[in-house]
Amino acid sequence: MDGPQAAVKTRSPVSESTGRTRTKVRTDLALFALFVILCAPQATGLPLHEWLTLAFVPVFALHLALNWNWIVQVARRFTRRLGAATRINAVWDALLYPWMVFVVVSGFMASVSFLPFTLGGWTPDPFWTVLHHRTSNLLLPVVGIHLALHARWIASAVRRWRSA
Amino acid sequence: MSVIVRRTVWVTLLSGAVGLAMLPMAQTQWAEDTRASASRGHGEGAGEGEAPPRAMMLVLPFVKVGVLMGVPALVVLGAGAAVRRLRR
Repeated sequence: MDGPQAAVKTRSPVSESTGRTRTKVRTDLALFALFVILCAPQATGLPLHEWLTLAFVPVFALHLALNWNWIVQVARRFTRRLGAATRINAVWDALLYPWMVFVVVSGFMASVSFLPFTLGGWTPDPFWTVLHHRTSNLLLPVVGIHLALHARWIASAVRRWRSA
Repeated sequence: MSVIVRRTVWVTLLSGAVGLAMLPMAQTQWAEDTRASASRGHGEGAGEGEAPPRAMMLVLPFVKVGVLMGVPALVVLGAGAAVRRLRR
């Protein structure tokens, strides 16, 4: 058997795991780059800030989908035996997810470019604008801590990615 | 459809539902108060002072992102290293 099918069938678990790690690292790098750019609307301008969010949302969802097994495992074992570090990670991630959703939703509701363009006559609600500014500034340290809590995984994944 | 694509779609739909559940808070008294204080604050000091140079406008927001993310991350990494050292 030749071709890509053969390559898939003969793929070892190690190379499969390396491939998954590579996908995760690429997704995370894209997510991080998009997040940093989105957090600087004064530099990019509001229209680019809002339209780039459309790219950020699926990458954020993909990040969760790629880590789905870990999320499910930790959720199942949360009340039973689980290391302190993993438990702290899980609690922090459980805080980060609704926060991120809130920042994205409030950003859409405060939209001055994307929604007025797609839904004619849309006027942003100052309530969502105020909330978006406050919560997005607070999101930065929350994401920083999330990265620090997963620093070991990030370092080992990058090492595996580079050595592959 | 691969498992990852299916999960991504599910996560997106779930996030949409979570987002929709947040919308009714715009109808609360707190939202009204926030709107009122936002409209009072609007215009106060607006347009005062000189705008910073263009290069600074491009760099400073990223510096802010780096500091607000980097400092808490470094504090957590330092705390983690200290805890590991104490346990040994």
